[in-house]
Amino acid sequence: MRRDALLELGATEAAALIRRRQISSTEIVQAALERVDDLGELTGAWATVISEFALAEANRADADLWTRDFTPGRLHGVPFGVKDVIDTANVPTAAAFTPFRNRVPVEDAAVVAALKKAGAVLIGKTTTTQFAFADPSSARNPWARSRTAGGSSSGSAVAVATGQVPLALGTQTGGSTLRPAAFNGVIGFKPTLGLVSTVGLLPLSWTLDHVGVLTRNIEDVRTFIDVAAARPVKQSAAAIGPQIVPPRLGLVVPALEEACEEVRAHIRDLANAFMAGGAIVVEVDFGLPLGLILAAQRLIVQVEAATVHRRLLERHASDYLPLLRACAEVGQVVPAHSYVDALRLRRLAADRLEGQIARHQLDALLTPTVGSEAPGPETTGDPSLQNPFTLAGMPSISLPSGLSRNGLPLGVQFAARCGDDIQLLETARWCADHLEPIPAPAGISESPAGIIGRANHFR
Amino acid sequence: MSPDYSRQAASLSSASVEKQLAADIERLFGHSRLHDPAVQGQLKVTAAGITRVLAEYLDPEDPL
Repeated sequence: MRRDALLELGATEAAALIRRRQISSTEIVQAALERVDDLGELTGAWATVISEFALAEANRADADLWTRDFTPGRLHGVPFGVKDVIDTANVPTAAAFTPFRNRVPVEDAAVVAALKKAGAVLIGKTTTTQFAFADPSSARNPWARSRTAGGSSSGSAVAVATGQVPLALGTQTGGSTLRPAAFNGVIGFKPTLGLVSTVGLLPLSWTLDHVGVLTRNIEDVRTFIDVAAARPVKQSAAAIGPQIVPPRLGLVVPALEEACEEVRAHIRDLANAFMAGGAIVVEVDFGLPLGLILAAQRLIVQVEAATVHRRLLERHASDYLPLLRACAEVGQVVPAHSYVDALRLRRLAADRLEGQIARHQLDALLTPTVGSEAPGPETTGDPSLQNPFTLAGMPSISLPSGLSRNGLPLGVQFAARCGDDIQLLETARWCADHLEPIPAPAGISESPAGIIGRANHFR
Repeated sequence: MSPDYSRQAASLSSASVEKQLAADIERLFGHSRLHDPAVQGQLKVTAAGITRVLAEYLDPEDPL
């Protein structure tokens, strides 16, 4: 199989081909590393690449298949990347923080261990914003170099968007998986809070940190859940086959009001397309004022980030980037009663959001992922529309849903009740089948032709 | 939170909360940090958030 064809494979599909020995792990890992060589610097997607180690693991994965009674895992032999705030044994995990440049964990984070147990081959650590906060990273948006790649899981999104890996891990404390997914034209998924273990993450907020995943198709998200879930996952009737009954969706009107006119019209058009396909779309709200939800989310992150970083800040203040340093400082002076109120509001927000779903018998809530196309590189973009579902701990997914007038990806976000991760994926799959494929981008002269924006790459 | 304190806190303006936070920042981190643009931005957002939570979040278990 040609290199480009290998790199267009999804993780699940590649694993199936490896299991059947139609391709080898060595071939696909080699191809991935060659693309990293070609694009790694251009895209700024990688903090560390472990080529020799990855090839040795791929060779071993191929040899294992010839071992009697060997049962390959769901991701056997498939290359993947890990955001550089997630611990990886014997591989530096630096969180874009200079004093951590030689920090080498001795153990994998639980989620990395789970993927490796399923046979996946780690090829490197993807670029992150510093400690997964809001100061932009060095990753570059492959659709337009003058636009942000988002954050904080920017390297993972860019690596997946440019075919360097089929799957990469991210994290989300506000909107750090879904927002870069939207800006780079890939799928971003955040499971129910706690479904995937956060043991081994460098924390930003113990209350709100989630592990997320970036992929190019929904099947790979499903495989990720199957492999990485730390507890049994609630199955849905649809789990035994594709969802054929059109979903009931709740279009969150206050989310539209946060978006620019172009995105508002785009989401209305999508809702109309879903209805034309048989879906029922009703208008709902967040159950609380969005500003109140965002205030609670910010206060929790501020106070917990301040707690995480208090001692490090005393010793390494000058190594902190401006936004994180300011957050860690101001978080130290937030009154305790405000933090406690914010935590209680979190529960109330979850009740109200899930109440909307229950009251209207919805499969999922529907919003723009972000209220605009990717802005300039001085920011990671606006987390306002991803935050509510992170605060509530609800599973959420962003699908690439079209291009803006400027030829940049737009994203649509779906969120379901806590625990309904599988149902959410089935709803997203139905909706993806009713989206127009994203055409290849025009005018990305810095990027080699044919590597990004493949039509229907998000199916 | 006592009812009196809650009522008092809820009536605070964002500007007065910001002033208190700024005084605490100066005490903890010094004058120069207080005038860092990123800190100034955080102070405004945080004060607005605290004020909003105090004003709009009516805790059902609060004795008020």
